[in-house]
Amino acid sequence: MNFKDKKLKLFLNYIEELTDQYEELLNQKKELLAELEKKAMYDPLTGLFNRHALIEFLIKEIERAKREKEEKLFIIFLDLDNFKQVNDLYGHKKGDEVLKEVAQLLKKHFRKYDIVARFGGDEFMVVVRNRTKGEVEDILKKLQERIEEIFKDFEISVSYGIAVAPDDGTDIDKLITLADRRMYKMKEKHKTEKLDK
Amino acid sequence: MDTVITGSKDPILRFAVRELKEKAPKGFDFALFSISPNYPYQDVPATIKKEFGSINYVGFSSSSAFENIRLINDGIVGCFFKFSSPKTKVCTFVKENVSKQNRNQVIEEVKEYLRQRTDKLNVIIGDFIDGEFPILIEELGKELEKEGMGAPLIGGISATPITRNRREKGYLFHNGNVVENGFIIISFSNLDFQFQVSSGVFKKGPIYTVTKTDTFKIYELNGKPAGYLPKKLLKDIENSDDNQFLLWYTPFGIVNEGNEIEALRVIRSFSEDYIELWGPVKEGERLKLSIVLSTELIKDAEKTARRLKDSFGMADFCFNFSCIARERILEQFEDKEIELYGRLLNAPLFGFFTHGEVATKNGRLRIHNLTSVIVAVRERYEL
Repeated sequence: MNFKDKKLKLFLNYIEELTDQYEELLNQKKELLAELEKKAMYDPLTGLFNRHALIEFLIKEIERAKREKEEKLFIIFLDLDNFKQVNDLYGHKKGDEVLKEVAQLLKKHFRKYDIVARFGGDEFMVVVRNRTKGEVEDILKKLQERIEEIFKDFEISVSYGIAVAPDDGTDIDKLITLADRRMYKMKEKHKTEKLDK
Repeated sequence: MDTVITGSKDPILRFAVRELKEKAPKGFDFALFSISPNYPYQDVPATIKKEFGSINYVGFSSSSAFENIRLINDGIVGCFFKFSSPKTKVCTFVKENVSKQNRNQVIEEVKEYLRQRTDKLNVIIGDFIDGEFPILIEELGKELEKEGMGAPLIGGISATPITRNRREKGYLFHNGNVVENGFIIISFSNLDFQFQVSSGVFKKGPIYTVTKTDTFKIYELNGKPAGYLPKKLLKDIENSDDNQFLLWYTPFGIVNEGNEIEALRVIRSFSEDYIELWGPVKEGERLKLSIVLSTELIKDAEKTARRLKDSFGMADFCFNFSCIARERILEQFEDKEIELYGRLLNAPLFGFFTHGEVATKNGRLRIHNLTSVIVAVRERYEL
């Protein structure tokens, strides 16, 4: 092998190293992007999907519901009753613990492919498909009882409202507003019941 | 300023020096000698004295030196300065046995010397001193940068033959004395000058972070043992003595935040555990692995010389400190660069192939490998 051939081989080896290093960089970039994407999708406190991710899922699910007319999509808006009191009396650390525990309970009561998200503060949303309204209401009642039982010392309960696509329409904003309004009706009802007691 | 550069390849030192004397201008003010390490270094001061008498000079070991556009291998080249203005003066700062002295103290002395001479052309020529000289320059560069002391030093490391990745000892000579393990700064006053640093290496390449080093040896790159890299570069290349020079074609560039190369480092040797470089690197520094082709070196040298000519204009004289790795990579075109410099700058040229170039790049004095530092000089004339 003369020196010229050696040089040529050296340059080829250099290109191999260059390619390997760029591949490694590319992999690092992919990992970084995946991590960023994950961070952008999840609520850091509870580990549930965040509002942004939920809307993205909802857009896809509603499109699917439109295509498969038989399928109903349940958009559930949940809000904790008396949660503010926990923060005020026991501090935000305790409040965060409650939110984390509620998140776990939500995950436990719904299926893996149902979408459970923290919408902000003490508001949560769940998107459920392939269920009947009766089944969904049963799950929510059980969840409500469980939350009241676990957090009885704090007098925490949960109010919820359900909107159904396509029965209630297919506009995301309207569906969320409707579920929110129905949740408020329940919250008002809970307040009246409490006062009556 | 009248500058005469003349060389001899006579293998007998006495005859070579005599040949220089015959061509040297009468009554010159100062001389620089590049002296092949093949000559007996002990005889250098006496031989110069015998032929020239007591003259003001600095000499240094160098295997290949530039006599204008001619490359003199294994000979002697003299550069004789005759100044036109009485204001033009030369003074020298000589430091020997540097490795036995406290480095910080040496740096302080040099800084103090340079502080008084920031407007002068300060040329430094040093021996490698087992790596102490490059380290000293890098540390000095950091200190000067802190003090905002501009670009006060240009020069190179004297060059001796390399056998099995080890360089032979070089010597410096000053007014009748042999200077061992040291360096000399030659300060010219009343001169205007400008310089440019040419490299010509490819600007793209993979970047690694030095995660473990002991100055010249890199043990880890990106947290992994560094020895894999030269092994990979030399994969399927049969082993022979000239492989030590093969890796000179894949230098590392120390890069800044913008990934631009600040200083080049040539690979000196390697083992399973480390890569040894001809210049120092620090942990945390990022290195870009580059490649180099002779055609690109020449192209960049030409561009650099044109840039210097455009900005400086007519020069009386030029210095060129060019890396010995360039000489190797240029192969049969080893004298092409000096030919370009001489032609484009239209001035006498003196210099040598170094074991490291000293120059400021991007505001920081550094030791470089694989570069060609070209300095254009003009004496200030009074009307």
